Amino acid sequence: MKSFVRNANALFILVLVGVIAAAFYQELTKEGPPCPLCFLQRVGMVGVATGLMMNLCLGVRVPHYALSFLGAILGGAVSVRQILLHICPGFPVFGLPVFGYNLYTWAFLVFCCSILALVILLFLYRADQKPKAPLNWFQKLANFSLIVITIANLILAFSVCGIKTCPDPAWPQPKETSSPN
Amino acid sequence: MAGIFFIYLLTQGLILYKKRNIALALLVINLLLMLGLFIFHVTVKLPIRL
Repeated sequence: MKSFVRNANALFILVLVGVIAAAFYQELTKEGPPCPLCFLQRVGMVGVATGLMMNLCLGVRVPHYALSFLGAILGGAVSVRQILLHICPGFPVFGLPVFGYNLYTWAFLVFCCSILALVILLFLYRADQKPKAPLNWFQKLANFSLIVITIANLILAFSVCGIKTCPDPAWPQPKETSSPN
Repeated sequence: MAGIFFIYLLTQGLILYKKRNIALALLVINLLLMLGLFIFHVTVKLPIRL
């Protein structure tokens, strides 16, 4: 059971890294640089994955899951905010849809699934899951891919935004409704 | 934003070197920074007008 939980954590990390890599591909080949809220969603995903990486390297513990939960909830809040922005009249959608949904909608679904997966992993938690066995190749691959995707995000964020907060895209202003008087 | 990813990278390095407490603290700081940026975006950059 111990190695199953650790492998499940590694698989979870690889899924999150795959999602971020797919967003990279979509944005760098078709859409152009990501928006500030897209970066914040990635911060949430990397936060979830970093909590799981702590499980792999330092032993499976509840505080690590708690930090992953916090990342998933914050990231979900950011993606809900972006969905709400773009359903307002006068605001266009940001970027191209993938399988019918925009990236921020996919991000919201990913955070919902992350919360569900974390609940399942917490159900499987036992107090004696301390790190005794060394990492296998699958868990090493998960750690390595997470570090690589973090470096890629760091480079992209630095090249798009510098060290300041990211500039917003030029939003069209919603039309003012003229009063009858 | 780049700073947040840099702190993440630092955190991951500390995790690999088994520095659990510092890594936990950095991860909490990072998530709080994310919360701060989100609140800044909601209230200052594109405020919600109800």
